[in-house]
Amino acid sequence: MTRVKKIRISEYRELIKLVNTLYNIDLSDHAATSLKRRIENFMVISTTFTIENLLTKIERSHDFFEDFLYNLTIPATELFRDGEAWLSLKNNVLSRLSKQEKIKIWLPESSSGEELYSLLVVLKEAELLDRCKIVVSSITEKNINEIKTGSLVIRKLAVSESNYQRYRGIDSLSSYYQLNKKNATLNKDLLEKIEFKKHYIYDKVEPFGFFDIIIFRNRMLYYNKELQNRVLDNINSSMNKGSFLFIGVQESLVYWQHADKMKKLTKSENIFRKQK
Amino acid sequence: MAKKYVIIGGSAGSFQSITEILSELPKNYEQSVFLCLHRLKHVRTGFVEALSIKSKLSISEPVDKEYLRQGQVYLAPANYHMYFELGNLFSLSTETAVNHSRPSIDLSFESAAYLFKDKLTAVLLSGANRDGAYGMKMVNQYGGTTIIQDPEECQVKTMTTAAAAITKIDHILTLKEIINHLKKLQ
Repeated sequence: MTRVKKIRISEYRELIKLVNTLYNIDLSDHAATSLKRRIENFMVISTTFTIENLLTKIERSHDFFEDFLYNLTIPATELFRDGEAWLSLKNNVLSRLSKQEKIKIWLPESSSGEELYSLLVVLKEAELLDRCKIVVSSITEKNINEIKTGSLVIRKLAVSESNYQRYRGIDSLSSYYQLNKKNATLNKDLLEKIEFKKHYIYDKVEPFGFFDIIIFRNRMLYYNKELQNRVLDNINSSMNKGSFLFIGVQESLVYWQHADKMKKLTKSENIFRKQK
Repeated sequence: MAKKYVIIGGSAGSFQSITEILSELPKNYEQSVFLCLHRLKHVRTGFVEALSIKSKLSISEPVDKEYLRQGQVYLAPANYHMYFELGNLFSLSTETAVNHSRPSIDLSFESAAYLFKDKLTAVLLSGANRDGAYGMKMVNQYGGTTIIQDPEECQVKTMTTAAAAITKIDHILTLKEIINHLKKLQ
């Protein structure tokens, strides 16, 4: 582990203030421990090393700022993380929607492709892919461009395959990607009809549509409770009565002021349905 | 009396020791106890149940942003890092594995060290990699108490010796002595 120089709380606050002033992005309600750590790591990989350097570069270059923001996003860990949860999505959610002519699905705050790619495989196997309209949104172009490539991290494939088995997939995960010497890429046909949007979810925003399913797993971990509330309000305004919300296994809606609007579908998995 | 916090890290060969510690801590134990143990990342259930068999204290895996309570044992959930935030609450994370580990002992220990300062007692048990060494250094730096299980008693001593190599360890103790030390924090 690289020994990283620690930034002080006052420096951390100064940085957040600058980002808000210059770029109108408010990071003050992000969970501090992990954000602070990611900023410290970024100072090493971007070879800025001191907070003064970092502030100056953020002030001078928009491209540098985009790169900074990109590096603060947290990629999903693997494909089919918590395979049983995907199985539950298939059995308890998709089965209910399979009669619909069109199924609209949104993945907000996507910072890498794993969640989307897993979803595409699930929909393909349920023979629903052609009927789905999927929107993927992310805070930076760089995240979006990366997701579009369909590239997979080779060292995560073994665990992804065993996750897929726990989801009880009908084939082998390897039948959905091409493995070359240095990289692996998701089959192109799966990625054909996705809509990508650069989108900032932290403030009150106009909803860009209503969705039947919103997949938002392990994103709220990086917010404090206030931000969780604001973002859940935003997400809620893009859901109809009867829509589904899929969150991470250790996440919760209990701190949300409108938690009573949602009902958990099964005991073991964190899939909620909007009641009112 | 001021509240105190205990954090215990362990990996290969530590399960037996953890069970023994939990079986000895009294029902009215007032400290919060955090367990950061290397575990199978895809097995979500069963670990709390296995640890609970002999424990007099209630054990749970924290949900993100849950408030931490005294007299409760918390186990870092599978495939998540476990942090502690101002306001005495948990924050979980799916960031990259550290020392091939998620949960990483280094990250949990460092975060606890920063928040709980001299009210923290950190214990490192048997393990086959170097996770926890840097975390112990941070505990020491922020004024907490560092304890390792006597490497001669550990099934695998890589972890404890790695910690001792880079930081001052306050107490090198046998499991029996660790248990007595933790009881005296009452």
